[in-house]
Amino acid sequence: MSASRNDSSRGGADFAAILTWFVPGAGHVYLGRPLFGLIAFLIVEGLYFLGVRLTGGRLFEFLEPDLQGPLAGALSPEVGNLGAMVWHMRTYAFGPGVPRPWPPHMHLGSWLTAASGLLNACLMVRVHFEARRSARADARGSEAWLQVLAGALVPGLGHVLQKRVARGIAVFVLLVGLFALGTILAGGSNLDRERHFYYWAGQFLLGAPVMLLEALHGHARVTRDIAYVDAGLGMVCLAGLLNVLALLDVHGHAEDAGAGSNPLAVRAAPDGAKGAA
Amino acid sequence: MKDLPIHLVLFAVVGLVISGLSAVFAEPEDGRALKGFPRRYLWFLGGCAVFAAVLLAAEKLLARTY
Repeated sequence: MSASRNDSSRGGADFAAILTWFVPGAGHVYLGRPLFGLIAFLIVEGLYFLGVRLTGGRLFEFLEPDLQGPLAGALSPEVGNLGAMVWHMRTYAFGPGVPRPWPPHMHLGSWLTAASGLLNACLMVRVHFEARRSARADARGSEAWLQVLAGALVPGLGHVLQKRVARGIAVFVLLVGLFALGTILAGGSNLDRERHFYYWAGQFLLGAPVMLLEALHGHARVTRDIAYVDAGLGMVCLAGLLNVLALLDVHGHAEDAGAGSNPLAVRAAPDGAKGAA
Repeated sequence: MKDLPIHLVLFAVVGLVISGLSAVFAEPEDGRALKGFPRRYLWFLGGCAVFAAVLLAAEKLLARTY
């Protein structure tokens, strides 16, 4: 493959991914797959708008007044679905500024909007991969995004799906263990998006373990001084962010496998050897 | 400093996870990742210790206010 063709396929892939970032499914329409694009649009935006409906559009009212600003959503998982998030902030903003009771399914709704952002990020991975794959005759397989999604739902699951079981177990034990320790140190106060909006955004990247524990914990009130709450919050946030590193490993392995070569050989070889191969 | 041993233990735990994930990311082969982990962990702890020492020295020499 020539360098110019590489550049053009890369440019098209980037454009398709950016299109998807703004409008879920638009990248696939751009690649000539309108049906898939439409289905993806309905699922991703359906999740987001169901979440908006359950929260009454009040998600960003979770933020303290001094954190409310035009870029307040930039560090939330919803940023993965940028078009919907911008619409959300422009339509509902931060509310009237007076205390009101939350809707009954406020937390479930906020999980759905966050999940929509994460799902759209995985869709961006997929469209980027497919755009490059279409320009490579030797490529096969497009399960990279599913493996990334699995790893986002349960740390290490993406590795297990790639038959790298020991690595998957190690990732799960390290990350979920750190999250559990952080939750203990924080006295469970981290399991509430209203209380710690941005730390929650970090730990959200750990997926199902966070959701399960949050559902079980039930957003209990903090009634005592928690000595190591800061350390705990740092740990749970770090655990989620480190899962992104694990997801990058999953994606890199899937891409190498999709290129029809031995992933271990390709990734372990020096640059010069890669070019020769 | 209050509870220094506890803070050091917590830091060691966090460093363990950071080093473990960086080994997973940097080494595609499990055996090499496992073999290189102790060295990676010690480098992380040592680097952080040097960084902390520099910060403490800077505080003592330049920014002490009490």
